[in-house]
Amino acid sequence: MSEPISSLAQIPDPKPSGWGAWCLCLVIVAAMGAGGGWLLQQRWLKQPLIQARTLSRSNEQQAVREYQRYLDQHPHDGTVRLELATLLKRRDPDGALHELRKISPKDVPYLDAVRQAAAIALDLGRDYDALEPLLLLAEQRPDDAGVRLALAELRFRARDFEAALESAQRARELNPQLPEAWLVEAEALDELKRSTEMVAPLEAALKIDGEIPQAHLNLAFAYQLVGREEEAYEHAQWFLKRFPQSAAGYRTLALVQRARGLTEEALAAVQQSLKLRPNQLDAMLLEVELLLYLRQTEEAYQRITQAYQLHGAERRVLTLLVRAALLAGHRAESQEWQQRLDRLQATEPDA
Amino acid sequence: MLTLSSGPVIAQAGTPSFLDVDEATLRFRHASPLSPERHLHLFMGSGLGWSDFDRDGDFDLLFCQGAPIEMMAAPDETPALRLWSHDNGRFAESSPSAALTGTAYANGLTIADYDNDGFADVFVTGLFSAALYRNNGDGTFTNQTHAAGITPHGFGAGCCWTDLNADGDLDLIYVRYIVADRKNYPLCSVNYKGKAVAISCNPRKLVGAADSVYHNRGDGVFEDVTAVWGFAAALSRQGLGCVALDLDDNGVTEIYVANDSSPNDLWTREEAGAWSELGLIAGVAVNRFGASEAGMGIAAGDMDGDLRPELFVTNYFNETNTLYRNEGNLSFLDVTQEFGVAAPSRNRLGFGVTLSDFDNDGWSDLLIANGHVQDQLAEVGITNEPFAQLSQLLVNRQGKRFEEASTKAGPFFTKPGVARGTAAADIDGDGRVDVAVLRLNDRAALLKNVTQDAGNWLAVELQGTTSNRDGIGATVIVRSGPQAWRRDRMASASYLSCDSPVLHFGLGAAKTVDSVTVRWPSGRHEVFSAVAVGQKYRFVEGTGIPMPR
Repeated sequence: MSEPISSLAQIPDPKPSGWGAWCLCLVIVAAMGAGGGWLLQQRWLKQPLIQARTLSRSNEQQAVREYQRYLDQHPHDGTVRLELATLLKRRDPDGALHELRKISPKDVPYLDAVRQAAAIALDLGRDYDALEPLLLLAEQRPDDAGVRLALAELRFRARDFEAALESAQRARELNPQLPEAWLVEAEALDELKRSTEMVAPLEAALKIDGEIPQAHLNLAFAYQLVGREEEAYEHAQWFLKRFPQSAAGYRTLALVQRARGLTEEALAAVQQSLKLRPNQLDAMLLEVELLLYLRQTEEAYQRITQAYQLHGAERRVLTLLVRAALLAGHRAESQEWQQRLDRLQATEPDA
Repeated sequence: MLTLSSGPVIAQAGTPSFLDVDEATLRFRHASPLSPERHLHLFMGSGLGWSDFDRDGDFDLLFCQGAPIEMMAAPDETPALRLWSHDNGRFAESSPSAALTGTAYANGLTIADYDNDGFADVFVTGLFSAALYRNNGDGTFTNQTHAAGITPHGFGAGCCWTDLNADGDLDLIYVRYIVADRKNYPLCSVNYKGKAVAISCNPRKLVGAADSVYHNRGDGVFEDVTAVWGFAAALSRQGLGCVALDLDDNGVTEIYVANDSSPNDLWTREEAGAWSELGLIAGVAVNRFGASEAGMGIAAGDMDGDLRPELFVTNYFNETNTLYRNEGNLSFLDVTQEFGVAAPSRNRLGFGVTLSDFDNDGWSDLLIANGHVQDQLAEVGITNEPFAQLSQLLVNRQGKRFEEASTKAGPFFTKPGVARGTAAADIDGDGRVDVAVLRLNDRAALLKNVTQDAGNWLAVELQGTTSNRDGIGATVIVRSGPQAWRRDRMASASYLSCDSPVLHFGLGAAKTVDSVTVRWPSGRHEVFSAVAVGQKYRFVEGTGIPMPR
């Protein structure tokens, strides 16, 4: 079985604190995909344009032409222009946006057009273009959970995690049955180095839908942070039962086993993770930490040297290189690594 | 007898349990009223220490007292100390005739007999102040600071007595926190939703202050050897807690300083005699991720049973406290995660930490005093970091990992507070170690150890002859069959505090002791035998004969 979603293959950027880096960022891609969808739950079909509408189900190109002919004669019919944009958005999203921009704020479906424009921009990954319409919608429709969720996602992608958190929390207040809102809240908390607070939103998401794999795995991670190791173990097992080939799953299991005090089992789990996907930096670092703890120092030094060759002079790598070299008895090498680390610290001091 | 504030003793067998004595027994209240500008020192608080100052057989309790901000304008170079004398279970504040008359905000203390006259003396640091108090032996003290050649200045923090050059006289480490003075005191605020909210400054954004090292000439005068002994070579950092002990068993004391938001310092003496800072290479400066943390207090001692002392440092909220396992040869490994001390500390801001075998099962436990340095975080939208926090008890499980046992440890651990220094002593001689906790701007807690079914124990007091009289810097190893336990005699511990001079050994089920080996700071190795469990002894250097107390 392959990874459940593409983001499982991603290693998050290293963070100064280290432990926050372990949050797997599983949910955000899935939730992001839903962003446009949430915006488009409302429908606006209104006046009949029988020919165009009939054609739209069989011959899109001809339907577009019919719509455009109608709009040439009725340029201020915003409702029909919105229909045209809807028809265009999959095949010609830029054309759809072009039509939507022609809808005047005085037109009845203006806010629906704004919503549509935001959704298209989000689907296109043009977050900057989506922001303004979303802010307008948030102002005009302050109780719209979908808008808040889309804003949360947008702000998360813009790495404005405080704002993302605020929007996600507002979204789930407005609609507590939105698992995506809870998931984005959890992710934002992790990015804000408040990872121990991820537990509550992840539990809430799973209460709504107990089959969200990413939520199980992230909850395993969050539980081990706060000392609920046995529950962490259960969630890691739940995930691995369904995704037995998940490198991220085994990596999380290794963290959980270490938190349970089972360092040999943790080592076995992280080595399984590395078998499934070699060269993951976080897993390599964890393996080295465990080898050092178990006083397998020479092997640890070899493994961290490999990590250095693969991933370069990163603070966590150099820190472990210094330790492993020293503990393996390579004092001079340790001092050389320390000098490199000192140079790095001088240019990139702690946050 | 000590009076307990929480009714009858209901202790769980096998789990360390404490009860706080009532206010009638100990009334000391720390004074640190917060200023509108939220001056940093008013949050950092103070330490405390145990010693039998009057040699009546009871441990007295010496507190560093705070002061309202208005006192900062008063140019007093003497920090405020308050001595509470212990007599048969009751504590009474000593009269002003004891001559502990300073009024400046006191931060940290270290207690030892620096002049080898048999009476415990005190060095205390404070805000822009410090004082060396010589114990006159008659219940009074004399301020010897200037006569001894010590120059008080700066934002004082931790301090420790230790014999740096093995000449039998205790030298002095005087740690400072940040660069500040009365005219240039850093004040900070944040703008939140258009409103300025005063907060205590983040030390990471402040300049660390240089520490001082004083050599005791043995004639009552100290000389500043900071530069000539090599201590000025390292960066000045935001120092707080400080301990001194022989970490690599080479007979030379190391000095470890916890720095707030910058790498911790580890000083060791090179063969040529100069001192070098080796924190990074030794692995105790930063955590496993290479990040410096907000070091506050320190516990040093063997936690995994290999007779090598570990280092445990308390840190900031959302960091973990950090446990460095001693791998020998002055090399350490961060084993915080593996020992189970990460999760309990993530949502705490740790200050004081006492390492002691509270249930005498043969493994040293951790008592951690917590409390934030910001009281107005909710006003800037941060609602998850409370000012008052629960303190914690972590029980050592056979040297493999620590488990939090706070909920079973007594009422003290269920009431949030803003705790700072901690200091341990067996104040009633029942073989169970008690702990005093200084709480910021609040009544001090005295936690009476009421653990049921505690194991066997041994208590050891040292008296040097060639070495300094207190035996500070000595390492003591107790052996019983295949088991062995180690303690180091230090004159500072925890956060700006000092434990009693008695070394306490929990012996578990061991019913006999085969030998007690003392490695004195003079270099002498001495074995004491014919030692019984459940007893307190004094070991005098060179006699080889244990003296029951």
